[in-house]
Amino acid sequence: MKKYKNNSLTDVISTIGSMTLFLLFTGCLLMMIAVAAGTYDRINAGFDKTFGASASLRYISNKLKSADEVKIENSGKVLYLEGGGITDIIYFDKNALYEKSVSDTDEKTLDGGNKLFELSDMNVSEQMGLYQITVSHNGEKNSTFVRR
Amino acid sequence: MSALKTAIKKRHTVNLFFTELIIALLFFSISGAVIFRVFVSADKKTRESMKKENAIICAQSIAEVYSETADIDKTFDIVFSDSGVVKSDTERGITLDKYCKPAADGEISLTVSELREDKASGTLSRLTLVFTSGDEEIYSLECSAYKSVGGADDE
Repeated sequence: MKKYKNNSLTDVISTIGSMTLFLLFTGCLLMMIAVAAGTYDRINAGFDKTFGASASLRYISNKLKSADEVKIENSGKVLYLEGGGITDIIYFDKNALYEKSVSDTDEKTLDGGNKLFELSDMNVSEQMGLYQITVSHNGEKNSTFVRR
Repeated sequence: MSALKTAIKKRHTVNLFFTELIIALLFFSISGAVIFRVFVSADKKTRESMKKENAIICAQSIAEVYSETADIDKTFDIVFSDSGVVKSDTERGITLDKYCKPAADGEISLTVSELREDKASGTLSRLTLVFTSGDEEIYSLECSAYKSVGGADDE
């Protein structure tokens, strides 16, 4: 009887030990999943912030450099880039950058453009023979200068 | 006797279960450690690439402004609205944050050195930009500007 009681106690302790180990492992695994999810969120946010802003800056810079004539209107929110009989209109509207190509003789309206990037703000200004392009994306402002 | 046999059999079953559980936990722990290491590496790579991308954009700005002004002080004023640290007549330094904006406690250090060659027809200025984070070089760029005696300049 005593032996049976001892065996029963051993079984209980063994079971509790196994369950504790399992629970400990599950807890550690859940913590690791939380850390990994946080890391993934940070990677995603950083990627979006950096590459979204830098890609738009590069695109506008290249367009400015390749244009024969540049007109900046609407407080730097609209760019008219003329060259080769075509006018590229790059404009900021509804939290995004749009681009539209029209012939020099056509009406230049600010609608029907292709959406390029999602941005919070865009501004192009001219100073000392340089164009300053400023874009805002996810609360971060990035700026670059381009020679005329 | 049969009760003893049953007890032994039950103990073997429990021991087997326990062993299997230990092995499974060990396997999942090692796998978890490997995956965790992958995530940490990915995070580190993202930070490095972010710094490099911002350094490249900053270097482009400096090169463009310098090619227009051919003056290191003016370039710093225009790009950073800060004169930076004057290390010598031809060298400037500035501390930037990870977005390449001036910050006193930034993690990126930019060193700009200028070399001027005076020629009969004008002055050729060469600028070397080096972005470092700690002891590691993130990005470097060389650019130049030429100002002729007549006033017209070329890149």
